[in-house]
Amino acid sequence: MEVIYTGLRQTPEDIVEAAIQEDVDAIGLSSLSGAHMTLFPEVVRLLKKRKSGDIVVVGGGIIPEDDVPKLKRAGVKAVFGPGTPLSVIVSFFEKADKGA
Amino acid sequence: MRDEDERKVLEKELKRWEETTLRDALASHPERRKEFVTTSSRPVKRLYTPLDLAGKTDRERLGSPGEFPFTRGIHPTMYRGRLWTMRMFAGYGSAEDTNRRFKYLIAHGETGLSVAFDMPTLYGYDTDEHEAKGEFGTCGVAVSSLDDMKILFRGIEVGDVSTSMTINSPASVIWAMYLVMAEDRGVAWTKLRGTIQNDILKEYQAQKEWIYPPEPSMRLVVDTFEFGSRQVPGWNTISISGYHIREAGATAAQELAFTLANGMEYVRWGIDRGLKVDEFAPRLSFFFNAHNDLFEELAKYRAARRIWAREMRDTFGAKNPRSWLLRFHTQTAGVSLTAQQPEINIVRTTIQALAAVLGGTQSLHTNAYDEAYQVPNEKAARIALRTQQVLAHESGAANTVDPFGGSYFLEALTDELEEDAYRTFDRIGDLGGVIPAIRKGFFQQEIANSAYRYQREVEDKERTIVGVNDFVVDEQTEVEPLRVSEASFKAQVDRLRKLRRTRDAKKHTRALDRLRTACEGDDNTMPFILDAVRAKATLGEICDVMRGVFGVWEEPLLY
Amino acid sequence: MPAKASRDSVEGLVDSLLKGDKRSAGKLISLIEDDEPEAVEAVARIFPHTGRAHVVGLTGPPGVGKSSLINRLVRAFRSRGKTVGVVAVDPTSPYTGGAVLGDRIRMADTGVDPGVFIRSMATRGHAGGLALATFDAVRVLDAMGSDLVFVETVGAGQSEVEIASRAHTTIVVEMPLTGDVVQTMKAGILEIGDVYVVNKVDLGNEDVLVANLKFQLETRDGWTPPIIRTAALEGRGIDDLAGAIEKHALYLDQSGGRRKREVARARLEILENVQRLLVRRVSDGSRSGRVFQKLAEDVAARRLDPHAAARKLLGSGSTAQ
Repeated sequence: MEVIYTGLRQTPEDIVEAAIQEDVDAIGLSSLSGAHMTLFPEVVRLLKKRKSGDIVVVGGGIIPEDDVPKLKRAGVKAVFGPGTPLSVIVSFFEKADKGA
Repeated sequence: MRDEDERKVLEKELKRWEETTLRDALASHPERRKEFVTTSSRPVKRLYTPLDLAGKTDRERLGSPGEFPFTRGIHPTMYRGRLWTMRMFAGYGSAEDTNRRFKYLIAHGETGLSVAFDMPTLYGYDTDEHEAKGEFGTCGVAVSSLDDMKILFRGIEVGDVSTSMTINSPASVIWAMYLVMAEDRGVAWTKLRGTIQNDILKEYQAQKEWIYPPEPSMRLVVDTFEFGSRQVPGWNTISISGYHIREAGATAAQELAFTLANGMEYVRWGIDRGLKVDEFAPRLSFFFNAHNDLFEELAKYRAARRIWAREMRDTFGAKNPRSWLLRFHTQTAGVSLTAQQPEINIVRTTIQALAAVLGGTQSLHTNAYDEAYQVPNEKAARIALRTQQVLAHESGAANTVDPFGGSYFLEALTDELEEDAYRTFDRIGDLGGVIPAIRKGFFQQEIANSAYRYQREVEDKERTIVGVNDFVVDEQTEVEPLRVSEASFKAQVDRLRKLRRTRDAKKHTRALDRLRTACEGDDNTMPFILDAVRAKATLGEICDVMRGVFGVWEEPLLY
Repeated sequence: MPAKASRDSVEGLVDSLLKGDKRSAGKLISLIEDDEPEAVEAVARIFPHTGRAHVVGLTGPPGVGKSSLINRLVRAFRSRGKTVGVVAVDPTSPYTGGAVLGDRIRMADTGVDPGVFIRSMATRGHAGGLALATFDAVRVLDAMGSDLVFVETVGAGQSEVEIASRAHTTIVVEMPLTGDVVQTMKAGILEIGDVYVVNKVDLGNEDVLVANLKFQLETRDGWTPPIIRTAALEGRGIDDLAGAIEKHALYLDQSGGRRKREVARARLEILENVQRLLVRRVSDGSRSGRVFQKLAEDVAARRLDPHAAARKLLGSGSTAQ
């Protein structure tokens, strides 16, 4: 597995551009500031606009339970909230890989 | 001679105990684990005795409260005279929203204000800029202009209350807004009390909310030292913060050493500017974390006071005893809060707050139990404040000075942390000092290593976190969510646009041009920032001028 | 992970690439990076559309500031109206087999520019070697229409020489050491650079390094490598460096050097591919594989020496066709 770390403070445009140029399988987004409801769906939207809707988007950070269904409806495939064990995240990607 | 005899007696006694009572006990009841360690993975011995304190007298180690080296506290009477300031970090949404929360907290007995700003503000952007998208008011209040600052403190007597503001890279701009707000209300700057965090070094090391490269950033900090010592003498122009270093995963020892190394770096820059150390050192304040391990935390605060007093007096030649005092604010450890069974966080916070009180803090913020999820709701914030009130009025911890002083364990641990800190100072020195060490990624790597080790210990269950990797229950957590309203955002953006439309454009441009020239030269920037604020320049506009002159920091990468 | 690109036809991808589609460029580079069977077809289809881009290699020790320099150079050439591609090679962790490709972060502020394409690659065990994959990726960006392509590698082992033999302009980046130390150049480094950069001049002591370089560098084929002082983070010296690159490109055009380099590079690549094909041919269960095994046993038993065995193998290789 290879991880392209784009650094802190990336805009949705930055993230989508990097994902396309690096031809990634998945994008992991982290937000602790509460901006996830705006930024996560924006990444999904921009990917679709660039005909790259096949790239899996997952999110994590401080995400209230109430927001999870809304994010999923917006196209975020999985949300790993506070306290998610590493093993849960790993098994999600293993499954996603087999499904691909 | 007598000491030598005494030591021999003690050693003999310890040996006897180990070979008889202890050996028998271990034979029938082995200990739970091979090694016991602190939260920071520092080994802890089974028993501490006077033998662990050999080599130093109590006078050298402790002194008396209110006297050098201040190990036992900076005041002779500590909380018997005045309780610590209960200062709850608060901020969300618009200035109106946060103003309401401030009034709520004051009504419930809070004794000092502490402003949390939102991400765009911390990064020097206005609410309506592209970079601010989605971030308005989510983890603090948005302050883009003087108008916002005025609303934030509407109905609050700024001449009477002390105000702490957690703002770093744009600190001088936000401070200028506060000063102009007071000026407009006719409150003299000499009457103002408060703190701007303004600690840029720990941003590069841990918190990562920087804008400009280190050197121009340090210049801005020293500008506030110089300006503050002359014009706003009751203001702490910096709060040198270990808090964020610890939150990023550092150990207690790293928090202590890095914070004090940063403190000394600020002193050097102040002196290099031509300031006299006693001119600005009394306005340097500190900010530490309070984590779960009661004794380790206590030892950290006590060692910090002792090191700072010695370095200020002996290394930097400060003559004024006020320059020797390490005054500090404490916040309980946000990083220790769990999303699982969040009510347990009230217990964690209580232990942490107790450590801060026993350690002699000057002010305290206690985290709310729902903060693994969000900025606290009203009820959670009230319980957090009540926790401090119980400690102050019911626990008895405030009745005597340095209650644990003289504990063999605590004194040994204090000495150990102090020695560790000096070893770290040497390593930083070998790297060429604090800023070269930042460029080489030294602090960042050290913190990352500690964070990784801790997380591994939790994942491997070597370390028990109640409710997370043991004593787990399967329940849906109910936390009453706090939402920032769309209306607040709209109101804020409208206000900002109106300000840009209605201000005197010529005056505004001239003020920003003069600020640019000042940034390019060597003048103290504060008067120019104040003028820009008076001319209704926004935070984003002022920071853009500085970004243009100073450039932006690009962090060194680590693997 | 299975190659996603294999679901798209290589032909389709190349068609979109030639129209400047970045998503296709990303997928084609993945094919090459993962050494998928389709990669051969992809490169074959792309090749006729290449040869337009000026390829600039940067090499130098880790931490010397190559990424920051490239970031600045990208901006400099963008403001001159050029489109720019970047291929950054990151070392794969020998412990986990994974890689954290971090160079992007330093180039982040150029990443959303439509005239810029940045791709990180890991140095894991590509059968054709690092250079083959990297420079096939360069071809993708060339075919997409990049005017310039920068290739960044960590100067370790043979990679500097590999870069120098394929790039049109090779830039060697050094930085002044702090403290009182004698700075020595890595062997071979003085022969490969067309341009030398002394970065981080803000750290001081650069005069010694510059003088040292000046003393040792020689004029080759009428080109004297310039030494440029830069402070990439502050953006100092970048215009000089961009100017030096342009000057070297012009020199190559006027002196016929470009053609010479292209031919030298073609020779190298043909030989590399011969070796690659040969390795592939003898290592499967084919007749040649069995001949190879027999020869190895003969050498081990001292019935044959390795040189003679090689001659026989090549002979058998040709008869096997």
